[in-house]
Amino acid sequence: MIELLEYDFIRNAVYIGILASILCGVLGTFIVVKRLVFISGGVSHAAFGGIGAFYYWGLNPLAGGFLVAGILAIVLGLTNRDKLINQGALIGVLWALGMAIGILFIARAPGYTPNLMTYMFGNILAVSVPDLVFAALLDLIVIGIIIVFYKEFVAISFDEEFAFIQGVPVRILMVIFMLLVSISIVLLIRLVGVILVIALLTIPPMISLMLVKRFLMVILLSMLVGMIMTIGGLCFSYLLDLPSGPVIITVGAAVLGLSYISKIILMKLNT
Amino acid sequence: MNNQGLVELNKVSFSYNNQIVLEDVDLTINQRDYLVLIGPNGGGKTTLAKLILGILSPQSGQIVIRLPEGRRSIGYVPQFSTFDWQFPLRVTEVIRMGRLARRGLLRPYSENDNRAVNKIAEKIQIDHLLDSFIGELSGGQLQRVLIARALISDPELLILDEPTASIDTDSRNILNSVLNELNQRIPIMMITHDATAITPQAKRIVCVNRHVYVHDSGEVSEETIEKVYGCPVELIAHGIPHRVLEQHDD
Repeated sequence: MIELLEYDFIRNAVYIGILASILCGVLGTFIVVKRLVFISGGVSHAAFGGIGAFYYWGLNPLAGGFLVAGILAIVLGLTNRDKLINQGALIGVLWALGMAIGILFIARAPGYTPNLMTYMFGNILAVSVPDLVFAALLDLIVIGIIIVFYKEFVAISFDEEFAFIQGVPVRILMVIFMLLVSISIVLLIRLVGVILVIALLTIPPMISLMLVKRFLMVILLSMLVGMIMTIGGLCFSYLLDLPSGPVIITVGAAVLGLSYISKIILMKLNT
Repeated sequence: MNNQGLVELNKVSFSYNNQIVLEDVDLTINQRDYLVLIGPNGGGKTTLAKLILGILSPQSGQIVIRLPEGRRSIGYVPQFSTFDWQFPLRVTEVIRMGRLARRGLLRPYSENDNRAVNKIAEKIQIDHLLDSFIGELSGGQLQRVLIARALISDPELLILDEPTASIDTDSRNILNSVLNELNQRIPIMMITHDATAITPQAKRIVCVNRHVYVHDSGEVSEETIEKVYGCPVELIAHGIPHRVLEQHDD
């Protein structure tokens, strides 16, 4: 299998898997502990509307995805979290409507439309060098911002109202966070597609939260689990000749299941 | 300063989704006050606290805060039932959040902050738990952690929302003695729906159910408070036959 790395596109896929795992480890941990999973899912699916529209107009589809995700990020970041949770149904509508609009635009797009599946399920093997540079920059920006405002982000995640009373600029930081999430979602759409993006953000932190207790350890372990998921998924996808996106997610879900079972067994043994 | 309260609410109204939660609320919190807010669930007790804290803004009326650092001088202990207990944080880290305002952005917590954490933890008798994760604590212990987080910033007013809900007797005794000591210096406002939680130290009882009625010490005698003790919570709710407090003329 090691000789596979001689292929540029395989090497790029491994690199982007590592870069994306770092991104997902950091952002996903906050998304999971702050219960923003459903909202992030809404953003990524709504982004598909922008992808379809820009595809139809002959523009860069990912720019369209980012435009929609970015606007939503600002709106959702400014909205109070309790209100957001009460508006779950509205986010559900956004979720479905984004997909519907995207598919309608693509259906009406002139000529042959081979890329639809790419955006739905992603293609980690089609990653280019500019994608890698973009991902590396994004990693640096996200890690930088999280390090600088680490104590504030942790405080907001744990108790938003208390952070507000303490004078933490909760709204601004939430907008920044949601913007980072939406840029990352657009990048991840290239890897695993719209449908599976949310799994890459949530599965690694869910596994880590079961295994370690320190917040920083959860983030670091999530990065590692993400790498196991993406690189393991790539290997299986090659060996079994299956599309990479779904295999990556299935590997992640399998690791999640195994961690859960082993944790239960360990707890039984300890009592 | 005599006639001016530290916190004054004048004709404050708040509605949520067109439902009026609080209407024309007048309330003054004075130096060394000990207010106990009672009332049914959904009556607006927590909303009232959040208005004072500035988490919510009133649709009409005004709230005047006369504290040294404005609202920053208010210590807040929220309902702990709303917390995610599995959150991957240690007790130290949670208490230290009470120093966020003092630290400000871009400055990490310092040794001073850690010393302050140790000091307050000792006082609230949770110093042996500092390295525990919050998921490992009992209800009473977690409640004490949240109180420590509020007290570490040396507040000039302490607001507690249901601090006695589902806590053990030990924690309740520690809580009461800490609050009594604090009340020598600063006013306290405590929300509860648990009649047995009303401490004899309470100086005024405030009934909150859309409207706010204040029972000054003259109105609610010690005898009345004694009656409140040990009675099921229904007994002091308005409009129920076995009323302890007199019904208000609406």
